[in-house]
Amino acid sequence: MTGVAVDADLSSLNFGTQPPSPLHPARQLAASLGVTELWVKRDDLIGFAGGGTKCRKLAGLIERLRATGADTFLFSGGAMSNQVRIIAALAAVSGYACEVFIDAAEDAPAAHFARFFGARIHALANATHWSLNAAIRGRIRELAAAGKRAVVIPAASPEDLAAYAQAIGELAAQGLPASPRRTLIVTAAGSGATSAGFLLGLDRHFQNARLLAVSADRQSSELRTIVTRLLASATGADPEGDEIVRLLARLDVDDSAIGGGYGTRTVEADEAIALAARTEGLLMEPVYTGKALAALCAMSRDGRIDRNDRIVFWHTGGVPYLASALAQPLPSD
Amino acid sequence: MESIEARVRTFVRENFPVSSADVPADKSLLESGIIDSIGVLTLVTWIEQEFEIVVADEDVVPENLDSIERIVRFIERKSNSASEGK
Repeated sequence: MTGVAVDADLSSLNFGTQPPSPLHPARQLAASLGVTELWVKRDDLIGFAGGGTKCRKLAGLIERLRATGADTFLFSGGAMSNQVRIIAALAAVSGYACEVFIDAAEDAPAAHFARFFGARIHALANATHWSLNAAIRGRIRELAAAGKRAVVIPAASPEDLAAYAQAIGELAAQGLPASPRRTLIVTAAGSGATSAGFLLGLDRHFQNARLLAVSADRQSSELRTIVTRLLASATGADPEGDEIVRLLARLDVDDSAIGGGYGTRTVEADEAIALAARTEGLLMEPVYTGKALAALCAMSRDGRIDRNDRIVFWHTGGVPYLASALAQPLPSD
Repeated sequence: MESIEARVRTFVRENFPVSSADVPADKSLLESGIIDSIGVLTLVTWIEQEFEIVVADEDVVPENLDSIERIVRFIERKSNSASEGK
């Protein structure tokens, strides 16, 4: 088996279906939740390697990575990280070696996918951020000694945020019916990059709208701090200045769906996944989208969101991970 | 010359901007979201270059690097042991 050459023409790379992603009405799910209007932004249908919102940044990312002159991508992520899966695929199709440091066991779903795409896995179950970084440093030295040049891909960059901001412009141009109602965009949040990019996009492209970021693993205060840092880095603005305050004023963060932590299943997320499947034929997974929908379900039931808001649920992808979750039955089976 | 703490604070503020006010010296940088996981690599590389000291992998632990005051103490300790070894 042979790979592709690193110097292959970038234009020959195929990252699958490109945006805009479809915007679908979800009337039956809306009725189940008791909300007036619900749309689903189908980023699960764009990109490659299983798709998802993270695919929006690939074309820009590979250009920047190529400019570094590196031959090996190093990346870290969690057990069901969409970025791990997609970046391993990016490395494969663009001719780079890829090594993934995963804070989970060898048999974690993201490790399986990354390995399938040809990446070398460093499984560091129970690793802390500190031990993970020490391992990455050590590997960079080993690769350098072997004449390789590695680049560590950050989970978020200003260019990534720009790609996600453009997604909001895309949504604004998709012809939602005119409505005096406020729009509430609901998304799962992990690294905070998608949320930060969406806030930039709301500021540029979408008035009378807010963002609800449902945390997959971090407490609200930590996620808000991360989003602040990403926004300040991307804009160069004072993190406590007017510009960042204005951007953050449209953000709500919810950490009520985390359950036992990153990657743990919750009954609420499993029920939400089943509800989406049975009302709309939508597939979601239990770590990100499932928990985001679970939060939306709970908040629409208990009145924490205005049921008359126009709600756009952003399906960020991750569907391939549902298969591993289905190995254990959903609660309503 | 600026103090070590002032140089560390400038680095954190410029690379991980979360507040225009000073970060409390004892606040966890990682748990509070000020520094992300890959940011630890950035921090360690900066310490090595800025203070011309070698940071061993076993030094990359929260006891040494997870707050402004811990970073300052770590740099002082490493700098002192480096100069004693000369």
